[in-house]
Amino acid sequence: MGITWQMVVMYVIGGLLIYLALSKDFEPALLLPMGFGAILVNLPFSGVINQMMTGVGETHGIIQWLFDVGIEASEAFPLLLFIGIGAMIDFGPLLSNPKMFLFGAAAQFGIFAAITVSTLLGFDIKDAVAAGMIGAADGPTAILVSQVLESKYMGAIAVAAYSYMALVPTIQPVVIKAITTKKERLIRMPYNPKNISKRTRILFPIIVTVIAGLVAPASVSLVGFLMFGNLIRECGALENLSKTAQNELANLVTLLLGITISFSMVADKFVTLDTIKIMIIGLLAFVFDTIGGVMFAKFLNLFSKNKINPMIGAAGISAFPMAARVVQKMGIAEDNQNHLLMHAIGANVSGQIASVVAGGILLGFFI
Amino acid sequence: MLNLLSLAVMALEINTETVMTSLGFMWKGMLGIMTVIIIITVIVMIMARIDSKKAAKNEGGGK
Repeated sequence: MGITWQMVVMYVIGGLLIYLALSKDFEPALLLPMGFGAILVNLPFSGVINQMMTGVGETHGIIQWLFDVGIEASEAFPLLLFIGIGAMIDFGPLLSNPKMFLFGAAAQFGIFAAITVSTLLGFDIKDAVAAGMIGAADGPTAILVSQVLESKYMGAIAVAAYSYMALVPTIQPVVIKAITTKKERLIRMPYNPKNISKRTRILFPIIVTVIAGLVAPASVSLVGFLMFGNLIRECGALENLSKTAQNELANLVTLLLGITISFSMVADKFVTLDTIKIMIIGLLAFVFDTIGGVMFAKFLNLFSKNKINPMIGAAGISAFPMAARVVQKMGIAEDNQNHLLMHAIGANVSGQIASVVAGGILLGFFI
Repeated sequence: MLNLLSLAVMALEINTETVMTSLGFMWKGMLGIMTVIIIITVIVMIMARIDSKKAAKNEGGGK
C-alpha cells in the first residue's frame, strides 16, 4: 500500500495543527502532539500502529498500545488529567459569589443544541452526543464521552474541541455583541467577596462529588477525579502532591494524551464528510453555549433588582480562563471602570463543574 | 407546507425519532445540570452563612 490522497490530506492537517500550535499559540500542549501523531499514524505501514507482518504475525504499535491502555480500556488518560486540572482550579471566586454557579449550568446549553443539530445532520444518537460534547469546551470530557459511547469520530471531536477552545476569544465577542445591547454591556457589577473558610474549601469538592454522583452516577469518575485533585490542593496537608498533580502529572498525561488521540486520526476514518460536519457542529456548540449563558443572565435580570451584566453568562463556558478574559476585556472596552473579571472567573470555574456533570448525565442516558 | 416538510425530512434523511430523542436529552439534561448546580449553590450559601455567624460570634466573644 502506497501513500493515498487521504494520507496526504492528513499530513497537511498534521502540519496545520503544528503550525496553529506554534505560530498562533492554539492549545500547543495538545495540538502539537496531535498534529505530529497524525503524521506518524498515516505513514504507510506505520510502526506506531499494529501491523500484520508476513512471517512474523501481528506487531504492536506504541500509539495503538497507548490508546488501548490509556483510553479504550478505562479512559485513564482523561481521568488522570482531571486530577491535575482539579488541583489547578481555585474555586474561591465562585464560593464567595455563589450566584455565578448558575451561569456555568446555563452555558452548557450548546452541548444539547449541538446534539440536536447532529441528529438533523444524520448522525446516530451516540455519535451525536459525542459530537455535542465539543460544547463542553473540555477536551478530556469530550474524549471520555466519545470513547465510552464508542464513537468513531473521537479524532475529529478532539481536534474540534481543542481548536475551538483556542478560538473562544474570536468566537465569543461576535456572538455576545449580536445578542446584547450596549446598555446591557455597560451594566456594572460591584464585587464584594465573602471570606471563604478553609473548612468550606475542603468540604466543597466532597459535597460536589456526592451530589453529582447521586444525581448522575455516570459522572462519578469525571467529577470525582476533578474534585479529588481540588481536594488535594485545598486540604493543606498535601502540598507536594498538589504541586505534582498540577505540574508533573498534568504535563505527563497531556503529552501522552495528545499523541495517543492521533490513533483516531487514521486517514480512512478521519478524511470523511462527517469530519467536516463535526467541525461545523463544534462551532455551533460554542455559539449556542454563549447564547445560552447570556440569555440566561438576561432572563434573571427580569426578576433581579441588582442587574447582572449579561456578558457574565458567556463566561460560563468551560474554556478557562479564556472565556473570563474575553468578558473582562469586553467590559473594559465598553467602560474602562467596569471590571467584571472576578465575576467572570466565578462563572468560568462553575462551567468546569457543569461541563463534567453534563457529560455524566448524558452517559447516564445510555445506562 | 406539511408536504414540503416531509419532503425535506426525506431528502435530508432526517431520522425524526433520533431528533426527538435528542430534544428529550436537551430538556432532561439541562434540568439535571440545573438541579445539581442549584443544590450545590444552596449548600455553599448555607456554609457561607454558618461561617459568617461563627465569625460574628468569635468577634462578639472577643470583645
